[in-house]
Amino acid sequence: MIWGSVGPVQYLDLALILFGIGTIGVLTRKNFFILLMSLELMLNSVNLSLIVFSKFYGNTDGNILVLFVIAISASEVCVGLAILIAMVRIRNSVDVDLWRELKH
Amino acid sequence: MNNLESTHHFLIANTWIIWIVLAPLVGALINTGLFFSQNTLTQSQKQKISAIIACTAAGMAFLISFFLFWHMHSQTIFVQTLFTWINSSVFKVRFALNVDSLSSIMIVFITFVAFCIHVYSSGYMDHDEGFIRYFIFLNLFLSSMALLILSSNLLLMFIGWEGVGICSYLLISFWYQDPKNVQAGEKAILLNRIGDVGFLLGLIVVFSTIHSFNFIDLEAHRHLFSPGLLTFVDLCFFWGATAKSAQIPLYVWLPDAMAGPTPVSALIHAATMVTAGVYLLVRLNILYFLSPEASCVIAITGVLTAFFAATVATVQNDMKKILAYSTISQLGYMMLAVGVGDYASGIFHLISHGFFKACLFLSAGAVMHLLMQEQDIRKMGGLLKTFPLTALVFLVSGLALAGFPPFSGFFSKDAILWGAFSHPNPLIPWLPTALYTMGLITAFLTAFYISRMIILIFWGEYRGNALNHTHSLPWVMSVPMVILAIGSLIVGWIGIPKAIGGKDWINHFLHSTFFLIPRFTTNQDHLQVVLMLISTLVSASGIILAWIRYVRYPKTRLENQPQGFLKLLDHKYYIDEFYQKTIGRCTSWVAGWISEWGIENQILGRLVDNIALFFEKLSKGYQKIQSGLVRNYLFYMILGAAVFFIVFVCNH
Repeated sequence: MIWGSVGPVQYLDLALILFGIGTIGVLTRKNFFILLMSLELMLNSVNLSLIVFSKFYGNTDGNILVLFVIAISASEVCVGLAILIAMVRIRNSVDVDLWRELKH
Repeated sequence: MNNLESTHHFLIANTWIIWIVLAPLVGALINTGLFFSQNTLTQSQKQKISAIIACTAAGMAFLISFFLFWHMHSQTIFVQTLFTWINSSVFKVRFALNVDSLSSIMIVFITFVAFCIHVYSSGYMDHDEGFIRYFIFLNLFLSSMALLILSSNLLLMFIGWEGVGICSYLLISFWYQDPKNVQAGEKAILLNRIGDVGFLLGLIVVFSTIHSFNFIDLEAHRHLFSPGLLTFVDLCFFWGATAKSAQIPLYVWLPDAMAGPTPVSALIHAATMVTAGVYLLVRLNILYFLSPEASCVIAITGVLTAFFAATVATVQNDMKKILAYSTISQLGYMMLAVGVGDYASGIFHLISHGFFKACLFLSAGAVMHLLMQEQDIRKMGGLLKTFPLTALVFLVSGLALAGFPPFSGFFSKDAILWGAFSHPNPLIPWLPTALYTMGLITAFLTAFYISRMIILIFWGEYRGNALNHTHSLPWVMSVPMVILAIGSLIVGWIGIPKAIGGKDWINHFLHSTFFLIPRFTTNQDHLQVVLMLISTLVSASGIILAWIRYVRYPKTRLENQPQGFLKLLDHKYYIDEFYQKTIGRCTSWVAGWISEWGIENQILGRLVDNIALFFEKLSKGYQKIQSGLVRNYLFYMILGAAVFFIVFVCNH
């Protein structure tokens, strides 16, 4: 591999880095907005890898799957934002650490 | 009809047998429904219905038994196999019932006496709060007893054995408001558990030797037992029988069992349940016949029990206690018959005793019923004029117990005494004479104590203060008493020995059950007649002695505390106190030690505590992981995925 050339491996590396950033964001941040954004980042990294494989193998299955993922993630964000509004109404805060009800 | 020929018997299938067991059971179930039902019937209406149901159930059981008995020919066995109860590779037990000559005569006798006592109870228990409960227990008892008698194998018999035990317990503690009655029930069930250990041991040894519980297999494979093992098995079953049939050393529960209602004492603790032990031994007759050692032990235990119980009965003042000790004594006679190998006489005495003792208890119950539950014969006297019918019934059954001809007790007791005298003992040559002498002394004591009781109750002046409230006996009580009194007169005639021109029917009838045992014959008919005369004289002298001593006995002397040897008898040889001081105290000491220092606190306690502590600590650790934060859970998930991934990659 020649330095500077961009191949599938570089794209996959980028996807991995994005996925890592997203994961760490989900695990460490308290703000619900950032949580949602990190989640989107993870989904997009997966989309990226799907497209890379699609291009690499020369078939369009990956591209179609990406469209599905985008649609589902959009609806998921809708639900997430609705939860966020409910959260702000009840706790008057966007801090997810205030929600510990799973313990009970 | 499907005839299967076994070696000596014709097995004939019959579908009626189970109904002898089921009829009382159904009666008990219907009465249980009535007991819990919430309807508009008044208490007395409910009582009437439950009494009719219970008596009908017992009557039906009797009719079926009589039907089977009527169609019984020699070497016939009616069999009914209902289902395979336990079915594993080696352990196969069928729920099957057999009626052979022995069980047919037993079941007829038991259901008949039970029917009479059911009818009597409906009068005796009138106005009792637990009327329906009483009849439930009584029917349940009859059902268990029928199962005990009719079962075709030892394991099924054990169910009946335990069933009658629990019904006995329930009925002894029937008036549970009084802690004394509850204790008496507990004593009975505890001592019976001791006996059950013996029965179970016997069951285990029998199964491990012949791999079957069937009585027929037992007879066929008797040679598989080595002599030592046979004696062991015999003694195990005898151990079980000493508890159920109240023999030394486990007899102490029977006098206390009189705490129950009197008809219960008549049915369970005189006529039927307590004879189950004798029945068991007679059922296993071949095992006992082949082991002279065990037979010796049984004969000696039996005659000692008969003698000791009779001596105690001579000084008791409680009517029911006298009859209880008398029952123990008569059971001793039956054991003696089994021990000397005269099984038919044992069954003969069992049946005649069942009649006259049930009759004695019922008449004692009638006296109690009329005298406001008074049981102390010192507070009676002169009741002959007041209750002539009861007195007559009492007299007839009393003479039967005393062994006075021609009442039933004379023939059956004499059959046993003759059996004890004439059967030679292979181990101890002088034993027959000793057994006979002891038996004769016991017969004298028997005549003495029952005459004393009757004289103190019915002759002389009235010494109590309950006569003002007397009322007449209802027919439901008097009719069964009269029937049983007739029975105590004539039942003995089924076994009039050949020596005095009788047919000895019962010996002949039972022979098909005892077909493996060589028929015992002697040519000493004259000697037998002489011995019968002797025992008549002994019985008469007992009666006369009691008459001389008690007919004009001053009231003040009755209230004196007995002195010397009589005091020992009055306290029943201090056996209860002895058991309390030795076994009772040892047990409670050991139990206390175990609970304080031994297993309970040091081993089990610590073990249980530490296990609990371990899991408590473990769960406290796990608690920390469960934060309730989604992102922590997500972290564990990713961690898990990572571990899984690493393992997966490393393996490939």
